[in-house]
Amino acid sequence: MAYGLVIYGNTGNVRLSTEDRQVRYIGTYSGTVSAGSSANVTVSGMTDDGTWGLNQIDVSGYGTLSIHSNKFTVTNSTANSLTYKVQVFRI
Amino acid sequence: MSYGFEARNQNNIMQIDGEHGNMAVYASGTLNASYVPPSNVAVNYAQAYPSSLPSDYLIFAKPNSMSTGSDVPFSLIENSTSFGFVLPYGSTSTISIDWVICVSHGDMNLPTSPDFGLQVYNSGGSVVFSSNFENFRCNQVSFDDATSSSYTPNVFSGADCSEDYSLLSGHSEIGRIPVNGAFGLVQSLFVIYKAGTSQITNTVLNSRPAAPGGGAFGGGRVTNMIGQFE
Repeated sequence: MAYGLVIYGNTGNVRLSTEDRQVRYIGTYSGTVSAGSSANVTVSGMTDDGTWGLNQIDVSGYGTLSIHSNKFTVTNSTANSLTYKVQVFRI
Repeated sequence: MSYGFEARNQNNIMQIDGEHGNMAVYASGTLNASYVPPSNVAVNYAQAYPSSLPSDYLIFAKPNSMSTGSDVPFSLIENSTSFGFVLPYGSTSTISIDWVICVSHGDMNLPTSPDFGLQVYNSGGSVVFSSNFENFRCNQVSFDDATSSSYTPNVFSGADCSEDYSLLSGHSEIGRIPVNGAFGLVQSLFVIYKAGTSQITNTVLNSRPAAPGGGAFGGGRVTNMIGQFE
């Protein structure tokens, strides 16, 4: 190979190759956004570069998520309070 | 970074960052999935979470086997103690699903005497990567803003439907549509394995009956990815 890192397991299996993307878990963030409002959640280093994954795993309400520099924003456009729980990871 | 270890892939995308834990296999197994009416929905929560499961985890899954030319759609359901997989509303078949729960390498029980490979520690002394653990090797990823009323199905082409796992975390109930004055249908984000075309797609399908009326709930930003564990 020309560059990069390949790691093999003890049976010769490839644990990591230069073709892979790897998932790193950053954290799970939760909170509440009142009706018609939005909330910023600080995540150091976050930027909208296609390597940050967000999953809204709470189903009690509906909120949209957007990625910004060092934060993501939870927007609640509904008439009810929103409790959110968001998984953040990098790929 | 000012010190430590980084690894990047051939497209200059970070693989090991020396700060955050990569994801390793914590538990795995196989479950049956079917459509079960809400009156008996507890059947679907077939698998208790492993004891001492860390709070941050991801669930991946794939069909245990595929019939040539058939499409296999399924979704994830979770409650506070258990999880399971469901088929779309009205489905009469039962399929077998292989599942994997991943947690950060730092949340794994580390071998006391590592005998091969690489371990990377962060500045706090926690392991962020250990080649002792089975690792998720992601080969395709996409991001969506999903609602029941507005969703363009995501398609991963060139998938190995016999080997590629999909991320199921985040594939939740996503809204409700009215059917008539007495009846509505909850919709969920499903993953569909299409062995005939070597595709894995993510789309919104009806998942269970509900009270009349419509509206979005759940859903929002979702991350789709496929890959293999080695």
